[in-house]
Amino acid sequence: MKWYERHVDAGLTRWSLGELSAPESSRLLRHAHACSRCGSRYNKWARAHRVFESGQTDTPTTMELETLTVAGLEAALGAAAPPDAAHSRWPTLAVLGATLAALFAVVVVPTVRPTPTEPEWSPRGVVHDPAPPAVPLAQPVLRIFCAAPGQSLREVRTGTACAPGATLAFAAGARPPYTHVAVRVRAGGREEVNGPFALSGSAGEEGPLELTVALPATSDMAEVTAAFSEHPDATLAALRGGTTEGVVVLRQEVRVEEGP
Amino acid sequence: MLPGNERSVLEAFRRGDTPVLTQVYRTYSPEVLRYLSRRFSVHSEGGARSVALTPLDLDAAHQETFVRAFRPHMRQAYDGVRPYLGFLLTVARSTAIDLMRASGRVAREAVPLEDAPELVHAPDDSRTPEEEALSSEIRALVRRFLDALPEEGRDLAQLRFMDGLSQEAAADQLKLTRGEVRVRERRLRLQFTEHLKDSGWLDSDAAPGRLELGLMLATLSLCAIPFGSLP
Repeated sequence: MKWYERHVDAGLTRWSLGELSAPESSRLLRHAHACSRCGSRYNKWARAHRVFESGQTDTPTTMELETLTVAGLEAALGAAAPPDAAHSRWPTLAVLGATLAALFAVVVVPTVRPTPTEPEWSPRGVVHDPAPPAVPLAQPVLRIFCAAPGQSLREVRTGTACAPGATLAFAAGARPPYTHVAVRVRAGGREEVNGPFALSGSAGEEGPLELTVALPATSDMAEVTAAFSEHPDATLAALRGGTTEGVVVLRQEVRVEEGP
Repeated sequence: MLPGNERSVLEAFRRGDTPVLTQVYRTYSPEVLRYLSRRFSVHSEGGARSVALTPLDLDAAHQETFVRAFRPHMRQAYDGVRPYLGFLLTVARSTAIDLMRASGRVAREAVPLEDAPELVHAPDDSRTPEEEALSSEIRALVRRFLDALPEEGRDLAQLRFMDGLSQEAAADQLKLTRGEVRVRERRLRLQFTEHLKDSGWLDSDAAPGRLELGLMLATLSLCAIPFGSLP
């Protein structure tokens, strides 16, 4: 079923031949659930094939069983992800603008290979690297969001401000081996270290962190620092001034004042 | 590589390791589908009756069963001692109840949550008159298709679908190669889909709507006739 096939009808013939791929099967079923006319048509189609193949309306055909099995795997694995990695909670994050990676000052300790240069027009999160693929690549991303009363959630980029008394929220993603992140926020003379949080998404697939931090009620400059590592303890150690071997640290300052 | 077999696999399952979860899903998905596609007996004030999920509800129930079973707290809840299939089918039954309630096929008061075990597999095949009518309609549709087939097509349909023979076994009986059976079977399925489309049966739901529309237009037309033009 191509993307431009608007209704189930076009996919049903290929469905009954077992020729739909897993994504196509999922798409067909999702559409059938959402479109009452198509859902009814799917039910009739399936029942007719059941009777044709087994003589029973309640016995699924082998093709139907295969299709349903293939189509349900993705959803089942998605449910297994830990709650803090569930992208559906903040679906808009996945489609928000460009990554903050380029906006961050990236501090990579000498023992970590520098992030490879990406060619122009490459999709976000895709790393073009001549090195052997066995070598893990670093491209962690931390995105900061400002939640102010009476305003919609917006991403905080370099040079933009978040209002006093507002709340910061975060999303992060990284490629293996960076599986954990810890976040430190300094503002109003206070320092708060949170985490480590487990990461499951890669760059370009950042997931929300179970973390919000209230900003001071007066104008200030907040500093957000995130440490990524494959070892949860190492992320905290790096933020507390300990060893930084194998840790990638990202830092961004956020102006705490009224206005954009 | 299933959670009840080895301690390390159980731990990997509880951690949510994708390869283990994929293996578990692939192993048990057909069993769950078979379980969900049977008829369920429902006890209510009006007595016992049997209900079945629609084909589309079967997809929803199957998917929801694994979504629920694979959630972190449910993975932790599995003790690794009981057979995992039993655990999974308990989730499937609860999912089927929820779905049938949500779709209105089972009244909320018919299967209270605390009485969920009353939703068991029906021992008989008691169907509602509507289901019987639908089944007869489909059988007639299939019979018309089979009757219109040449003998070799009917023989192939009989061996492969009604008798459930493999392609190899059907090829032996029909003195064909397996490749020939595969090609003919594909053609048979295509012909059947064309038959479904051509018969208009897939669109038959729209018929009452068209009838109502016709009646409404006819009524409007009558109303629009000037009284003076009547004899």
